[in-house]
Amino acid sequence: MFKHAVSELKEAILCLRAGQVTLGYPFEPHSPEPGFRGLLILDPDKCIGCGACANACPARLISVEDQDGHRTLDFVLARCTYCARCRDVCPQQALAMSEQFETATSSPEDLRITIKLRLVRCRECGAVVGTQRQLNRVLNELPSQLGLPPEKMDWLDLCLSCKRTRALREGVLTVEVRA
Amino acid sequence: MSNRLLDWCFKKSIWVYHVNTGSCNGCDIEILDVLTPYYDVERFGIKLVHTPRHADALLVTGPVTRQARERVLRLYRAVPDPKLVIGVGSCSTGGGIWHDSYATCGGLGNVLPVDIYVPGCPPRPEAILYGVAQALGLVPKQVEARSFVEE
Amino acid sequence: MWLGLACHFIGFDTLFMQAWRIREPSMWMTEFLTGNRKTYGMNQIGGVSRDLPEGYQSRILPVIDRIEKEVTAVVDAILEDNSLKLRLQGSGVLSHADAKAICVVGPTARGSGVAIDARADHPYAAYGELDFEVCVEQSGDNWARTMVRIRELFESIKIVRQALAKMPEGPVMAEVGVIEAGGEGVSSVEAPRGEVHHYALTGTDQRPYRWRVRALSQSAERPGDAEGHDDRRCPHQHRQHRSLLLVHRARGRD
Repeated sequence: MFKHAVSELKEAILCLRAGQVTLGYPFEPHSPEPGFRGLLILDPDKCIGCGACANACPARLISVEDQDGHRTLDFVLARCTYCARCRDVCPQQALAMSEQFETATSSPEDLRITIKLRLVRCRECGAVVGTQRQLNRVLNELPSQLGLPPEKMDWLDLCLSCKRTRALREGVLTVEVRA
Repeated sequence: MSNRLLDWCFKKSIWVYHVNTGSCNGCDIEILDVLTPYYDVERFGIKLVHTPRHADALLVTGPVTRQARERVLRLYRAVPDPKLVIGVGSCSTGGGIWHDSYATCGGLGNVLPVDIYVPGCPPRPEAILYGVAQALGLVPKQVEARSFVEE
Repeated sequence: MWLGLACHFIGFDTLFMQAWRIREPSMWMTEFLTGNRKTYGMNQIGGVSRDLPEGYQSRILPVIDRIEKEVTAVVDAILEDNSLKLRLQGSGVLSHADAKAICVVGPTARGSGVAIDARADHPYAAYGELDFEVCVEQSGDNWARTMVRIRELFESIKIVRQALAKMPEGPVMAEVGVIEAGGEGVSSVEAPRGEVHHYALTGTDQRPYRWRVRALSQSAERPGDAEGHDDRRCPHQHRQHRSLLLVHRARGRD
């Protein structure tokens, strides 16, 4: 009995020593640590529409649809698990996890990002080659690596099969590649 | 007059009944976390009750599995009016990873009329507090759909 | 967390609140280290997706020191608590023989004197290089299981300190290469409730074709033996067989 009383006293002292620890939230902000994986944000100027994020997302919430002259990427963030795989694979660092966690809403449609980019179609057969921004990136990086002026890279708006056909028809392209 | 009084009372102190319809328990633990000293939701008068008949709000986690669907509907009918339904976590908001699974209903919106969703995996206790406050009309919504078109 | 929940379930809410108060700084620490309080999202095939942030040592050590100090005070306070002892001592007794026969794992088994721990039996990750004790109690009641878990808490703190001291430099992700289809793998890890077995069958396109996890929440229960129908056909050596049976069944469901 005595031991129980001592134990209860110790518990009471424990609680009293802890004191009041309640945070001031919601009357004061309580920001998360840096690196917190909050709501996804997309930088529309950086996205090239490659779809790597759509491939990596475990919840399959990113859909890539090509229609007529546009490619639409649709992010249904209602089922996002905040794993940040999309951010890790994006070659343009267009995706980032913000620190926003106050994302309550009465309609999951509020958690949706859509981006529509211009599509480039093959000049021979009309198949999809890629988005204009993807081609722009190739034009920015490839000429210096191949040692070719950009005007000479006239195969860029051909799809894979037409590129092959052209290479066979006109002989194998030889390119001097700098080591 | 009595309606206005009821509305005023309703905003003051919500008693919630917590339902797990197949979640991984992450959201459930965060809901319990909201009760603990650091976040202390009991200072707002919100407490967890053990029967839906005493509750004002249903706090639902999980992407309603097939077996849970019938029970969730019964629980909803057992909660007296006026009531709130709050879906906590990505699973109840849009089905989460299980959105196209044969075993789930793909989110709470397919089963019950939901007042507010609190997305997150799991949502921080602060986010749950914000969601409940938003359901009561005390704080504004902070998200909206974003759309960009390249001309 | 479990201590708080255990006390919550028996109505001892004071300890529930205090235990979770002590636990909260570890949640903030996890948020600092991984970006989320619970779903770390770091495990990838071949390693982890992000490195520990700058200054992690100086932030982790004070937190675990404080947790250790506070948990010691809590344990010291509750050891002689009559209400806890009345509820936990002598109730839910699982004898050593029963524990082995039903093939329970984890703290349930260790509370009944069966010294099994996947971290010690099949060391994975860095457990082979760390020194820790498998906590075993003999009485097999709820109190024994509680004491096992409390002692494991202190062992975990010891493990974290050792790991921090021995942390090597280097990349966080190994080169994995192409994962061929049709490969199989089984692994056993120690979850808080005991051993968890994972089985994976790889498919095309570097994605899994079949994945089965045998979580052990059901194995910790005792099957109903109202008419003496307890299943004693599963001694300790056949425990692995039972898991593999589930694994083969998962495969067969193609």
